[in-house]
Amino acid sequence: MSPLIYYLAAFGAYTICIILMTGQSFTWKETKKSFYLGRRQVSAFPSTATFCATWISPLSFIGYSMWLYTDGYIAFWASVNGWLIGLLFFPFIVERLRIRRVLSMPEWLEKTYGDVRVRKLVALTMIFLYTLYLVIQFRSFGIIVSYMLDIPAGFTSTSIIYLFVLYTTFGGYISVVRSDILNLLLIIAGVTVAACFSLPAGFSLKSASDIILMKGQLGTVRQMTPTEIFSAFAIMLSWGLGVAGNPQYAVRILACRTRRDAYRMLSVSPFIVGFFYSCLTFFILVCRAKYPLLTNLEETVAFAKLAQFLPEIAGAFLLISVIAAAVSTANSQLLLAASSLCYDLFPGKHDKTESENPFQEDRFLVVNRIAITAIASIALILCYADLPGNLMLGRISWTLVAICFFFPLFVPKWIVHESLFHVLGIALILQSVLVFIVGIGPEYAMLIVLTAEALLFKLEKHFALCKMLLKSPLQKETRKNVL
Amino acid sequence: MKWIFMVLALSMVLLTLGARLHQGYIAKKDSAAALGEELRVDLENRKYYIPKDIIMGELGPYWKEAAQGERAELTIKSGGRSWGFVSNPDAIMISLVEEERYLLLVGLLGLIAAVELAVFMSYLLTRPLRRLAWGCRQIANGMTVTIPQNKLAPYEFHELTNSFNTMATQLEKWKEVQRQLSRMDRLAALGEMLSGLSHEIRNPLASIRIQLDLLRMEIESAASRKVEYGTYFDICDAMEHIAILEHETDRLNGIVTKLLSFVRTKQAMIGPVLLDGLLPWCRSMLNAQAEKEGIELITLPMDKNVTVMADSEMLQQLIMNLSLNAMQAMSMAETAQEKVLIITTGYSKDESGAVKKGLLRVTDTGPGIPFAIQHRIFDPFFTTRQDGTGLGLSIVQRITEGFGGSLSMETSSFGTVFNIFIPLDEHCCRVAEKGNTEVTDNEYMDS
Repeated sequence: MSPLIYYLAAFGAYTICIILMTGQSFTWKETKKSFYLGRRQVSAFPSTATFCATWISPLSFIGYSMWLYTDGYIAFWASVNGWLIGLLFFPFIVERLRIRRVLSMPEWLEKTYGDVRVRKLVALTMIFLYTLYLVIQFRSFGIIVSYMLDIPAGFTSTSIIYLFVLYTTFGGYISVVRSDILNLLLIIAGVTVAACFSLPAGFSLKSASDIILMKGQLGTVRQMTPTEIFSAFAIMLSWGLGVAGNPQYAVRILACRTRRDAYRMLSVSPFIVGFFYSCLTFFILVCRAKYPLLTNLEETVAFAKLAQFLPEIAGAFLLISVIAAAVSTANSQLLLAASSLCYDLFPGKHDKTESENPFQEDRFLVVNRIAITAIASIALILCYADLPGNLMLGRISWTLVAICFFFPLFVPKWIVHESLFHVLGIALILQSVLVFIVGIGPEYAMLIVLTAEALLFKLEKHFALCKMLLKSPLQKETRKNVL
Repeated sequence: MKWIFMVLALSMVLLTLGARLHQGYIAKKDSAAALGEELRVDLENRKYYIPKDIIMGELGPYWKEAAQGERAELTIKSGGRSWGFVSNPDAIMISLVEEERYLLLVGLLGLIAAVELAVFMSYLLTRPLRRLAWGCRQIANGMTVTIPQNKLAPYEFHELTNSFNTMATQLEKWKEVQRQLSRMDRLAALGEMLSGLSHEIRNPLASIRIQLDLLRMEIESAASRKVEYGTYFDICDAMEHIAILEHETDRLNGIVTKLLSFVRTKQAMIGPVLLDGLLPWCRSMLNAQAEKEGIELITLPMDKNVTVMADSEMLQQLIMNLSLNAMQAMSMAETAQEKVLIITTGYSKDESGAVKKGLLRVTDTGPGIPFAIQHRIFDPFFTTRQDGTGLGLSIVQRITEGFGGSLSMETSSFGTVFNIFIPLDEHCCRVAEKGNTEVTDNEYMDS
């Protein structure tokens, strides 16, 4: 039977599942807290599901796969390693994040460092970077759908994700979590099926180890030059820091019912994410060994072509899992962008955790939904603008995240509250200049900017200390010793 | 409701798509049958043999050769040989789906859009209900609530919201009535108690008073005898103590009298009373006190010949109570504000301009009544002064209600205004309606 039938059936089934299982829009009793964080009542299992589903985006799915397909294990070393190292940072910030009882990360910055300007600056940056990030999800979805349904890639294919994402995001965080549970199941099913059916002779441990240890595969690592090693290290570092500071995951920590649930989520997630990367890596290594000629195609199309080497049903599962990854990441990012816009940037009279008046809450949530539609529409339009490729957009976004959040989240002792706004402002401007005007790769620019940021923080700390000591009635000698 | 709309949307889309696909399937099958029939007739007319492969090629993918024992839908004979064919539903279906994939895609898009619209519609319908539920909870918690109209809601919900707001207003009124009833109950119980208490106090008081008089007379006669006999007798101190005792006993008696006047209200002798005619009396009674306190007293008749149906003696008591209260409030105030007491009389009109009642207004420039105690000022025995009985305003309210009139109070940090509305004498009412009047009900609200 034609694969089109399978793909159409799979896509139709996915649509119906999303509609029936995840649509929780406009619940009876809605508040800001329920809309942004599910009333902070999300237990460990759904939290883990939404954490992992949000983690797996088309960029980490297709981008990593095709990099691995082209360059071998170096992709694993630079990207998967970096992401998983980033994941290890999260347990250190659980307590710090949850103690503030905030609804968004920019609000956390304001409450922690006492400067509303920082909140506004970071909110603005988040709107920018998540809109860019949405473009990646929309593009990948559009290409996969056009391949699956054999239609030209264009507005029709991309607009489907627009509707999917609006549908799942309108219901707020709980709706996003529900859709993420479904999406994670599909993603895991997709890569598992792909790994199992990738070997024509069937899966066995012997054949699997043969593929993993094949001479051509390992050679890619052994032949790396020092420049390549540094480059891979820089990418690993920037992507790791990008993950560690990403508000998408921090928000999930905030939304957990208890601190214990947050720790459970963070301890289980590496296994799920690790399993996903293992299956995907194995599938791509098989493709690399057996079908090494798909090199000149756009990476999403190339990935879709790899799926055709699988049996039809397995191929359909794999492609649906890419769609699921796009939807799960996009709705989470859209919710964050909307909250940054409505709650952090222009809070109006609603800058309170929870208002008792339902009319006020109603109006605020309606405005949020309008913001969601507006941001999604802008991202949809940007899909057809002359923007850089998916990987480049991802690199720009990750580095901006790291610049905004890494120091405030992980080294709060370095920060002088009064100067945080200026340091972050300078850092963001410097990054933009280095990337867009000088033309340095975002990862390298980020390393420079983070170093500059650290220096500025240290200098500010030193000056603040000096100022304090000069004002205090300490003895001259004590001052000298301290200085 | 959301699920009903969603199922409806889903059914509509599936029905439309199903009908289209079924129609397409039938059309393809019919066209395949027509093609087969045409080929059969064509081959029967030809005398030479055509191989099976060519025939199958001509028939296309919608036909397949009938299996052994399967009943053929189409039998084609060529060169003396015959082959049986049956239609191939899988091939028809695949071809149909491939051709109609855009339709399917649009169907799926339509489905999501329809479901989103359905959810939005259910939201529009349930949002007013949610607001009403919130309103009910507020009322249950004893709060006053008015639900604003939602322009996007259907008119039925406008009606529902109006009804809810009316119900909430009526409930508020009912609560006010309940408060008054409860107050009246308390007052009745209090009156009963006071009546008994006053009686019990008054009897020994009378006895004490009589005994005091007798004692005084005895001492006076004894004193005169001693003076006659030239013996020193220090009687002056004893006389002074007795005088104090007399004064205190009289004061006690006054309080008891006041209590009794509150409990057993004197039957009002209602008759026509010239309201503006009371003003000279007010001036004569209050002027001395006002001067002593440094208060400027102004009496002002806004309209002339305002005749109300009241008891003039009670009306005087009412004015005295209000004025003395006002003067005490102003004298206690430590503000630089000028102290002025204004007593005005006139007509009060309703919104249409018709004369309704006579108005007696007492205005002071005191510090006003704190919001927290405003609802208690008419309660008997409620007072903020150490030497007050707390009965003045209660008596004012009772007298006003006894005339069939009403009372209102407005207060701020710049002063307090008491308005007493008293029914007019019929003759006066007719005269007044002919003339022009200035003071209205609404005016006092704005003053």
